Amino acid sequence: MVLVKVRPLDVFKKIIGEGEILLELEDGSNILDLLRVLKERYNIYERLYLMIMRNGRHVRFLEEGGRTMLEDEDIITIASPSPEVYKT
Amino acid sequence: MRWLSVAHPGHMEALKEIIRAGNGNIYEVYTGGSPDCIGTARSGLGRTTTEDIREQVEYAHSHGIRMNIVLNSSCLGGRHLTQDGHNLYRWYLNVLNDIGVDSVTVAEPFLVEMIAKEFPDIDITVSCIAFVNSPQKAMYYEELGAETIALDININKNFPVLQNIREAVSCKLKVLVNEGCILDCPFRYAHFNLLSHANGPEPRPPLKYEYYQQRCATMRVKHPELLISSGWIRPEDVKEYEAIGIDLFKISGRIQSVNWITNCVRAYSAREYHGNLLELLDSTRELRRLFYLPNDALEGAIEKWKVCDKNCYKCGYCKRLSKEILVYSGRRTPNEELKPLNEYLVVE
Repeated sequence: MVLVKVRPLDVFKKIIGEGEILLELEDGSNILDLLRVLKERYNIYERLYLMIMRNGRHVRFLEEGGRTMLEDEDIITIASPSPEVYKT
Repeated sequence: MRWLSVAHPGHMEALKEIIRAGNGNIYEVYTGGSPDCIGTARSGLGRTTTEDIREQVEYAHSHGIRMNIVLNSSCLGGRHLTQDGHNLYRWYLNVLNDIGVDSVTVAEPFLVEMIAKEFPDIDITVSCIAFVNSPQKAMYYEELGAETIALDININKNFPVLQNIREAVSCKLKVLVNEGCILDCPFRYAHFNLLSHANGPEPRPPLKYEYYQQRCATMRVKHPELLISSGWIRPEDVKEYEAIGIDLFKISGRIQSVNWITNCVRAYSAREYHGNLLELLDSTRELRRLFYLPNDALEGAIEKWKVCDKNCYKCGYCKRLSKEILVYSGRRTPNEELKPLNEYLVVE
């Protein structure tokens, strides 16, 4: 098993309801597997815009993208823009 | 001469990329220390261990770059004045000293004095959130032991005050070039205190809502001139500050992604940028999607700001400028840094 820390920011933090969560995933899991777990556990709206980083690096700049394998103590930061901004 | 002080997320890969982008202009990189000892006024994306710092200090030194560790909580909750707290800080500073850290950034006057007395090998930078905004305050901190003072961003466009501070102290002066905070922001003190507790030692408040950040973003959407009157300094205008004796130019953004930081480093190293200035500002990222502030169109505005008396109510220059040059995209579609959850899951 791999133990990773998920650090939600902005709206995503409100959805998760916690500042940080520790998540245990099966060996060989990647970032997409983690997203699937979060989607199911927190019933996340599938059109919610997200920015995802692994240890401070945007998923777009990871060689394997979303298929990057997770390792113990990885910090996955997930942010979504605040709708408050758009309301005004 | 090296003149940039650059935000560093804290891992080796980022350090290598930042140094490469700096093109020989980086004087120092700065990153957060252990939040379990002394927090900082920024949230961290990762946790940098002592071993990480040691390795990165060596790498930075091998490129002639200094390493600064940021310990700039604006509120220590009185811990620094307890015996346990003092012992903990002394222990942690000893660790940083042993691994060759060149300087620390602190916002608390007690720490400035303590470090100056007990750790003469560690240089002290007074944080911009100590809000040094007058010659008098700068002199107090210099007397306490500051080697460098990062000035309050609210005086970035107040040249008479900057010049008076320069004349009053002999220590290095640093300005923060790319923070997008509101000029004279009413939330600034409260926000930094909140972040200091949220990113400091336990117990950390389990925040449900980042009131200050969201409120200030909303204010800027309602009053776009606030985007212009903010204290940022364009890459092209750095020379104006050098001319009055400012030594160092700090690029903020250690909670941003590495590619974002290197983009800023390249722009300031080149001293020119042709694009949306908001892309260089370390502020709420939604604003970059909503507004386009063409940097080229701001050429020459510094001449007005150099003599501005900061009475926005009477002046209205930034408001007029915002109406002339600021483009409101009005789009809700974020760029490629963001995509919906289902696209991550389906496309990949």
